[in-house]
Amino acid sequence: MQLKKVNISTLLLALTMAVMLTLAPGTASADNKPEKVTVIYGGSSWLGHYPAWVGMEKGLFKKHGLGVLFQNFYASSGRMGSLIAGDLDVASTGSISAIALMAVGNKSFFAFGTQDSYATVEGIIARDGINSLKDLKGKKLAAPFASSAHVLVLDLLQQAGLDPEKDLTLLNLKVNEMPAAMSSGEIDACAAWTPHFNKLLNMKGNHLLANDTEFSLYKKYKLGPGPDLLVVRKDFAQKYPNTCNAFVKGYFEAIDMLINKPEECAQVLVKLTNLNMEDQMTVLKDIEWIPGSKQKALMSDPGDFVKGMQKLGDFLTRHGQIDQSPMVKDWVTTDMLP
Amino acid sequence: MDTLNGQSKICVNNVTKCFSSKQGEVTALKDLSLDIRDGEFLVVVGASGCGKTTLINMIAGFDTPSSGKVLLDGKPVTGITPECGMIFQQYALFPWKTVQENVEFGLKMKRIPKSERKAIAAKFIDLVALNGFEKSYPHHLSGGMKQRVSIARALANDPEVMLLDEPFAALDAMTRQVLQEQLVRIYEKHKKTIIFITHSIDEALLLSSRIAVMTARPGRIAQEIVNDLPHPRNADVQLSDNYMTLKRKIWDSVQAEVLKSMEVETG
Amino acid sequence: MDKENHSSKPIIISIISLTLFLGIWELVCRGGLIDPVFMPAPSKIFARAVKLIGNGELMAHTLASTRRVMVGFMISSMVAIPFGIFLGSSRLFMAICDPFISLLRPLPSMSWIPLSLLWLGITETQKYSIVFMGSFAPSLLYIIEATKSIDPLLIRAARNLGASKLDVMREVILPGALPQIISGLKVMLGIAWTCIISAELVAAREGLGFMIMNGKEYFQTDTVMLGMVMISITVMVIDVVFKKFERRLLPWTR
Repeated sequence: MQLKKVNISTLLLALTMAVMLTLAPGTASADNKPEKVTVIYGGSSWLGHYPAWVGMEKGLFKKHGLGVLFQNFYASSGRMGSLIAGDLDVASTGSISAIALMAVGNKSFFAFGTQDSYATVEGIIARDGINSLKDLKGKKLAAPFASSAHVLVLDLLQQAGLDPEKDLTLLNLKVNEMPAAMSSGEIDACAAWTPHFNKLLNMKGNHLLANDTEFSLYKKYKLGPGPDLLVVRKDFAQKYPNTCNAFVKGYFEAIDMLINKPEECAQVLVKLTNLNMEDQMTVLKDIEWIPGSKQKALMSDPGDFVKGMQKLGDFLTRHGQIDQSPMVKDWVTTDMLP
Repeated sequence: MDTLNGQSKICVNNVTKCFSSKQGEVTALKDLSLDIRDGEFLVVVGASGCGKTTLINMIAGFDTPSSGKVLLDGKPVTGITPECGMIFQQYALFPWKTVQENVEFGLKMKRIPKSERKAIAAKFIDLVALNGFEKSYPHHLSGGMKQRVSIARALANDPEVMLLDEPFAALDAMTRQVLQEQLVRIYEKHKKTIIFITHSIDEALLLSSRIAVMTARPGRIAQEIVNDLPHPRNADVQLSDNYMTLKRKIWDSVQAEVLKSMEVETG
Repeated sequence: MDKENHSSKPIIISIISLTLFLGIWELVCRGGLIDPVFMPAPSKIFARAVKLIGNGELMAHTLASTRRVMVGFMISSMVAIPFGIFLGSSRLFMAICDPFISLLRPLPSMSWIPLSLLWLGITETQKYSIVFMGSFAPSLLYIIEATKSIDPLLIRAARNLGASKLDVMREVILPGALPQIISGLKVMLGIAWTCIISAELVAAREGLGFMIMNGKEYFQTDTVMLGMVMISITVMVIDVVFKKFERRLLPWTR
């Protein structure tokens, strides 16, 4: 099913509806028209949500007759919880939450794409004087539990031969609480992701200790500890296939724009991230966007992404974070991809 | 036994006591004067609300006069003094203490060693015939037994004066009689100065060596009557002409007051 | 014997109602009507319990929370009891302290988390302080009320028997208020548990509050519910211990 219609999107549902009225009804064939004109998207200030934001701000969803409502969630787990509860239609999530939800056997969502690859906007930041992972011995290291940064920490500590239970104090802290904890001397190091990651790096006396490139699966498979994936609620996808296709179209156009016109995108992204333009551009440079044309290869079974996710599931099981590794391929669909 | 010739133990001198209440200023006592001699058993009779309790509270030091003075052994009473042991109508026993611990309380406050306390308490528990109830808690006792504990508790503290504020008013007639007789025996044995408040003329006649009759509010002393009835004041005494004469005399002296508010008991 | 017969019947009924409830719950879940993420079957919660008991995690979390509650609650009570008795028997000091107590009382323990993190850091002391701040002001008010409820006649009687003001506090007000203080503290212990759960939501890596939150992160709703059940069980056990202790402390109320 192909869409020919174009529409604008805004944060406000009402506005979206009003804009819908301005559309010329004859520009799309009745078959391909979105069954539902509003998509509720779950996001945050994390880079994985840049395409959705750019798509909204730059009117790319609107072109396809869609209004997208951007709902902010602090963590992926809350976002995924809302998705399966039916409050969100589409979301991007860190893979840890998605795998955890697969591991408990919830089948009410599909993964339909992976939009980015990043390795240098997440990592462990330490105060000066701590120059290697081994130096963390006896120190206080903070990570938000049940996150990609937590997985990174578990992996890096294992590589350095440190036991998180005995050799150091591993603290459970939200990323937005880390800057204060670092400046008060409460913690000696922390694992965080952008934009907090950049803020922490900019603080005096802090430096980067390790990033995702040191992650064991990254070294072998170029897979970070928490790659982003796009998920859709299963019943939404089945009920509104045209809407989903329209969303996917607009979404990957946004990715193309992020690749081709990063500066133009950065100007609207700073509203989401509160970073300055310089930092925003730095973050953008560190991301490898995966265009729509490459999605199918990654998402099919046995594509690289599906294989990588399976490895991550096994890793989480080994570290006792989930009960058993799910068959990731059972949750992946390529039907929505261009 | 001529108690009137003893020393003046307590001197209530021109005492006035006012309270402020919702209805405004209330004068409970007005220029009240009363002398109590050492070893005397003074019963204060008065209608309810005449200020009897206010008077005894000032002697115990719970309250201070608005004007006038209360002297104990010639010295003004300025605060609560253990020399005047108080017995309340509602017993005021400590519910969390056993009979023995209640009786020992005053001694404990004097920091008397435990073994000594125990011996003294045993003596007074015996005196009020509560042997076997040492380990009981007050709520397991009858009203009469509770009041006996209260008496033993006051006596164990060895006060010079005992103040009893309608102590038997809440008890049934039989129990009251038993306790009245016990109190007289204790008085004869221990020779304490006793001030006893009641609204019963018969109780006054049975117990006292002297009776002070109070007027209705604001309270004053209407008349003081020496009670020289012979002991023991058994049924014979209570039917004697002397008893009747005294009762008539008290009755006459306070008739106006009594008619206003006093409940007459005809034992 | 008679007494036992009387008390055993309601227990049997309670057991039947509980069994029935769990049975229906299990059946509804087995029937696939409810997604286990939203409501896991009792058997799943039980299986989770077996697993976490096996690896020692459940005990560790329960003990961590119990320890935090107990330490925070004990310190709070140990300060609140003498302070409350003192305030309850002195109008002057009550007037001095009243505005501060009134300001502290309505603050939920949660609201102390940011300040406590700044002042005490991510430490056990910080967790204790949350329990302390959450339970201190209400405990204090309970104790002040209990102190004020003492029959003034008993205080008079004690003073008349030679007790000093300090003696009165120790010998009359404390024991006299004790039944009320203890029933107040039982309520406070429940509040202390709500405090520790909120304290463990932030910057914790052990305890039942952490277990619940971490279970939520991984969509292990069985873990979440197990954590909740454990809180109930722990509070019930503590309540039984408390009752034993209460009987011993208040022999005159039997």
